[in-house]
Amino acid sequence: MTSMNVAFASVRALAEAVRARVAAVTDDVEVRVERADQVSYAIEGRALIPELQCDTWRVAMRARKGGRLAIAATTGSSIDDAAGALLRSLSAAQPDALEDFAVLHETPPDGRGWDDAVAAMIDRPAQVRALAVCMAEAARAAAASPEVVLDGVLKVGRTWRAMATARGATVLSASTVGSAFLMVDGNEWDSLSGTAAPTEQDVRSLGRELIVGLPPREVTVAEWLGGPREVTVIIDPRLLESLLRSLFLERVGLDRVVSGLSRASVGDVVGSPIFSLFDDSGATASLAGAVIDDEGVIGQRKTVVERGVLRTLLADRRSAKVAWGGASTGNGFRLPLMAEDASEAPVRVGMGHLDMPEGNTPRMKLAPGRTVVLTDLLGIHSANKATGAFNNPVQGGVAVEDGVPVARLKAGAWSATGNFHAILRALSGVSAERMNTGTATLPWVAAPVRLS
Amino acid sequence: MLNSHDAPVPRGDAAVRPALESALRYARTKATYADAVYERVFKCEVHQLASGQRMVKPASVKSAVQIRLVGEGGRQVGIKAGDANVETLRTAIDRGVEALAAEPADPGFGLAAIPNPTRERYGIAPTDDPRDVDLTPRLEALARAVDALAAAGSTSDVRVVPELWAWEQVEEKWIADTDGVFKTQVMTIGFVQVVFRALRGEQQARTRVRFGDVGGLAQYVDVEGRLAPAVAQELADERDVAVRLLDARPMTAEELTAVTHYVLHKSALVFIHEGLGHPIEADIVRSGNSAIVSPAGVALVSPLGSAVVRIIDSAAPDGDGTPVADKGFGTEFIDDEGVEVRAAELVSGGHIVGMMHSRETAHRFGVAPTGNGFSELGDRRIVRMRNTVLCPERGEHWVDSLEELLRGVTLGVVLHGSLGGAVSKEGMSSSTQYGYLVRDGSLTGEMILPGNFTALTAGCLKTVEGYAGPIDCHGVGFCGKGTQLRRVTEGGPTFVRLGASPWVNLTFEA
Repeated sequence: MTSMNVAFASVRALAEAVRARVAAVTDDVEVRVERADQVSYAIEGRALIPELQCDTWRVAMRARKGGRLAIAATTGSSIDDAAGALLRSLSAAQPDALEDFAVLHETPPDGRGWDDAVAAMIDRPAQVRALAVCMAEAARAAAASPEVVLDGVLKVGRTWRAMATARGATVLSASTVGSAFLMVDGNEWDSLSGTAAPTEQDVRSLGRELIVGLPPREVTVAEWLGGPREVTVIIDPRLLESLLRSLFLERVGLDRVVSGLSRASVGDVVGSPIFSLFDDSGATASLAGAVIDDEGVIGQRKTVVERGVLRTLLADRRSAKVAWGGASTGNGFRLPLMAEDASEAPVRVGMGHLDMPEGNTPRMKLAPGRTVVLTDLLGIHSANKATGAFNNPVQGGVAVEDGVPVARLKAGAWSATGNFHAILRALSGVSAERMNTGTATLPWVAAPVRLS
Repeated sequence: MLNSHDAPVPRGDAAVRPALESALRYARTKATYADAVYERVFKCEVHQLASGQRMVKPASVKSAVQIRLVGEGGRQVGIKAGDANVETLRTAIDRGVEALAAEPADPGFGLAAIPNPTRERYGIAPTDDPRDVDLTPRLEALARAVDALAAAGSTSDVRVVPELWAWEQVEEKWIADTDGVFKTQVMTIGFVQVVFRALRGEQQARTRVRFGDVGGLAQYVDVEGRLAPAVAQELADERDVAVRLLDARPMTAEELTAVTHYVLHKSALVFIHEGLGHPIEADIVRSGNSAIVSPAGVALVSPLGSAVVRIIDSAAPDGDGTPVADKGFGTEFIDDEGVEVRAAELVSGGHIVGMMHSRETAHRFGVAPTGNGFSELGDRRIVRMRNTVLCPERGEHWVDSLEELLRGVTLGVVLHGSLGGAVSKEGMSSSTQYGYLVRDGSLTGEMILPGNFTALTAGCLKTVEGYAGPIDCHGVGFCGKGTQLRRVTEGGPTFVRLGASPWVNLTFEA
C-alpha cells in the first residue's frame, strides 16, 4: 500500500522540481500534480469486469514570462518530460491578462475529502468486487423478470495532489471517491457518490430500491397526458444539477460575462423568490470541494442567488482581474470539454459544491394531479448554452397522479422542452427533502415543462 | 501506408520494447496469458476562447499502459499504469494478480487470435514532425485566419465572435503479448474546430464546423495562414449561416404535423453513429443493451431498414464507398489489441449482417476480430467505432443532385449539422444546427432554427428512400462510451432522404 507520506512526498517532489527547473527563465510558474489509484468493477449485463488504475499521474503547468502566458501538460512522473514541455511552451506564450499566479500559504496537508476506508479498499479489490455483486444481486432479486438488463459501476479511488507556484508554499491535499451507479434496461438509473466508502447496505439498498421504485406499467405521452402539452413537472435533483452546471453556469460565470456571452449582473432577477443557491468550492466531504481551486485560490462558500436575485458572479483569477480588478471567487477549474484531458484543459469558471435550501412541501406533493418526475434527459450537453433552451428525450422518470407513482415513462417515447432560465423564474415549489449527489445538495423542484 | 514495409518506428522503441517484454515475462509467471498496449501522444494545440484569450500549447505529452492478465478458467483483469517502466509495470501486475485471484472462472472468456502476428510496424511517418518542428507559427496563423473570417462576417449590428480549437498530434502505440506478438503504430492526426457566435443585442446564434483526418494541420492551413480552399469556403458559409440564424424560425406545429420528409445533410448523420452503430457493437449486444440484436447475436429486427440501406464501419471511404486505408478521423491501421483493421459490414440490403468486434467478443461469437478493440490511453479495450458510414450500393435510389432527390417531397426539411448526440437502448437524440424548408420539391430560402432530431433505433431506417451526392465522412467527432473517448466519424452521401414515420421526430426549443 502506498503510504500517505510517501505519496505526498512524491507529488511535492515533482511539483517543486518542475518549478525549480524553470524558475530561472520565467517570471512566475504554477505546477499542479495529481497521482491517483482506482479500482472499479463494471456491471455489463451478467458480466462483472474489473478495472484497476495503478499510479497514474497528471501534471498541469502554466508559466508567465514578459506578460505572456505559457501552458503545458503531461502525464507520467517524469520531471524531464514535464519541465521539458513547459520550457518548450515558453516560445509559444501568448499575451494574457493574468498577471500572476496565486501566492500559496503554508498549510498542513488537507484531507477534507479523504476517507481511510476508501483508501484501504483500493488495496483489497475483492472487497470492491463483493459490493458490486451485492448491488447487482439486490437489483435482480427485486426484479419481476430475470431478464432485467443491468449496467453499472462500483468505483473507489484515491488521489494525492500538490500545487506549487513561484511564490509561497506547496499546498498538499488528498481525497477519495466512492461511487456506485446502476441503470436498468438502459433507461432508469440511480447512483450514490461521495468521498466516503459505499457500504454493503448502501449498495444493496440502491439496487433494490431502483427496481422496487419502478411501477410495472409504462405509459406514453398520449396515454398519460392526452398528447403533447405543458405541465408542471417535478424535477429530480440529479437533473436539476445537470441543468445548473450546463446551462445556469453559462449565465453566472464571470468569464462568460467578460466574453459578452452573458449579460448577467449582480442584482438581476434570475429566479423565483423561492430559488436560492450557494456555491461552496471549499465544501468538506464533497467531490466538488477542495482546499484550493485549480489555480490556488482558497475554496469558499458564496451566495450565488438569494431569493431569486443574483448576488455573485462566479470567477476565476483571470476573469476577476479583467472584470473588476479584484479577487477570484475560487471557481477556476480545469474543466475538460469534449476530448480534452483534465490536465490539458484551460482553467475555466466552474461550479463547486452546489447547495440549494429545502422548501416545505413533500416532494411528491409538489405538483397535484397528473404529472411526471423527470430524472434525466438524454444529451443535455447539446442543449443551447446561449439561450438556456433544451429539447431532449427523457431518460428516466415516472408518471405520478396526486403524488403516487403509477407508471414508468415509456423509454424513447417522451421528450421534454423548456428554457432553464425561464424554469428558474417559474419555480412553483421546492421540496422539503434534499438529495446529496456527491457534488451538490439539492431539493426536488416543480416547474412548467413541455412534454411531447 | 498500411502495406508499406517501411512504416516508422516509434521514438524510444529501444527502451519501451524491452520494458514491455520484461513486464510480460514477469506477468507470464503469474498468469496464463497477458498482453499490453502502451500509448503515447505528443500534441500541439491552440485554443481561442470567445473572450479572445488565445492559448497555444506546443508540447503536451500523454501516455499510459494497459495490461490484461488472463488466468486459469477465463479469469481476467485489466490494469492501467501511468508509466512504461519495468518497476511501475511490475507493481501494476502484482496488484492485478490480487484482483485476478478474486475473479470467478469464466469458461466463455477467450481472445480470438491476432491475425498476421509476425508483422511489427504500421503507420505513416509524420511530415514536419511537431516534436522537431515548432508548430506555433502555423497555429497562430490559423487563429489569425479565423479571426479575419469572423471580422469579415460582422455587420453594423451583428458581431461575429469566433472560437477555435485545433491540434495536431503524433500518436504512437506498442502492443505486445506473452505469445511473442509485438506491433507498433505511428499516426499523425489533425483536427480543427471553429465555432461562430453571431451576437445582435440580446440575441445569439451559433454554428460549429469541424475538420479532422489522418495527417497534420498542413492539410488545412499553411504557415502563412492561408486556409485550404474547401476549408475557407465551408468556414465562410457557416459563419454566414450563424448570422442568418438570428432571423430564422422554428417549424410550426402545423408544419411538423404535415411534414412528409426529412433530408439529412452529411453533417447531420450522427444518428447513424448513435442509433445504429452503438447497438451493433458486440459488447453492447452481449450485455443485453441493444434493442436490435439479441445477446446471442441474432437480429431482433429484420429488416432493420429499407432495401437501400447499407452501413459499414471502416477506414473512411471515397466518394463511391470504397474504404481508403489512410483516410478518416477515426482511422487506424491496427486496433489497440494489435488486430489489423478491416471493414465491418454491419447492414446490407436493410438487414443486419455483422457486428463490430474486439478479440474478446470475436471469441464469444465465434468470428474473426474486426479491429474495433480500442482503449483511451491505458483504459480497458472495448469495442469502438471508427468511421461509420451509410454506404449504399449504386442504383436509381442514389442520384447526383439535391434537386433530383427532392422530387416528390411535398413538405420537407433539409437538416444540417449537429452539436452532438446521445444514445439510449431504444433510440437516439441529436441536435441539429439549422435547416431549410422544402415545399413541393423545391428548396425554399426559409431557414429553420436548431432543433432536436430523435429516432427510434428499431424503425428509423425503414423509410430511407434515397441519396444524393458522393460519400463523405463529414461528421468528425469524439464518441464517449463509459468514461472513454475516441475520435470517430460518421458519414454517408451528401444528402439522405427519409420519409416521415413514427420512428423519427423533430422538435424545437421553446
